[in-house]
Amino acid sequence: MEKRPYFVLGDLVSSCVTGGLTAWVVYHSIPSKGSMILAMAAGMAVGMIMGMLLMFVFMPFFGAMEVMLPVMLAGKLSGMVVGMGLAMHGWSEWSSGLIGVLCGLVAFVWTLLAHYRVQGVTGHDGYQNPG
Amino acid sequence: MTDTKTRDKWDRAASFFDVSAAWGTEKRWAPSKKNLFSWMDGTILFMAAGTGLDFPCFPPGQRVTAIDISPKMLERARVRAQQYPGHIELMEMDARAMTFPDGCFDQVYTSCTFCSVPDPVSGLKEIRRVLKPGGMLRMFEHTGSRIFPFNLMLHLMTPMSRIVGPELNRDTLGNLDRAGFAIQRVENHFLDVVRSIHAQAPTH
Repeated sequence: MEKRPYFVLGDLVSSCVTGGLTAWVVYHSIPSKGSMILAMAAGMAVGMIMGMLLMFVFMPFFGAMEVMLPVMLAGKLSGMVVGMGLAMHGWSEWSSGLIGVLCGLVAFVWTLLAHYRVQGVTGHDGYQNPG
Repeated sequence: MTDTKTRDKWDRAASFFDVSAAWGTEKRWAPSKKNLFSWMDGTILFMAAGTGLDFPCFPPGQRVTAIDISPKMLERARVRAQQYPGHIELMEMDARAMTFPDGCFDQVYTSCTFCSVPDPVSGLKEIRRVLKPGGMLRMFEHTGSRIFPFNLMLHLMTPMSRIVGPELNRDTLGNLDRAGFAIQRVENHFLDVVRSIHAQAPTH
């Protein structure tokens, strides 16, 4: 991933904003009492759509579609977790939003850790260092 | 024969290409691209020039033949080609049916090209044909991933991305193998998705 602050902060902020906004939309679109599994699936679907929409907002500033993976992950994760939380615990709007932002942070760190496992010059298959 | 479906798709994309792919993308990848293009030497072919966004990353003083399937893209690339401190000749051509003779280039460069060429293996075989024996293919490409959940997400995003342009789940390293190239080195820039790939054509 990037070391330049503009892009590191951009990736972090875009993931957290996606997580937070997804949580807000899920809070207002999914009933707070119902099946946990259905709420989780519906939340994930909402998260996917939010991720895809917000990706187009962030792309011109931080990079093309292929680097929007943390944004997509943040949307899905936030949608699933907040949907589940609403069904199980009836989370408030603020709690949902906060959890959504945390999901964005998790998506960012997840991507960062996965990236550092395969970063740098690698061998002919792109996964192992030569020698 | 030119693939008119692909040409029309990229002609349509030409009007918004610089907005969607310019600032963020070019700023983000410029250092990695400059590093890859710094290998430029000898007779050079640059595939899928698009609107010429990559030209500022070329080292000065090179003579480059740049092709693209879309005349609308090339129209926009012309200004950037003129600004390049060297020589860039632009030609309208399909990557899978190039009109160059066999073995006429020392090096071929691609930049986010093989996410879009409809039959990538035939395109790579065509590159192999126009490269001199042992010539180098150097690619800056985004590919599919082997890492969960990113691999799954790239598969899910591809039907949408395909409408406006690229596919996000291509097995470009596998395609290079299938086209007969020897992969020498791969550098990962973002996960195992955005990469520089150095591959050599057979020496005989």
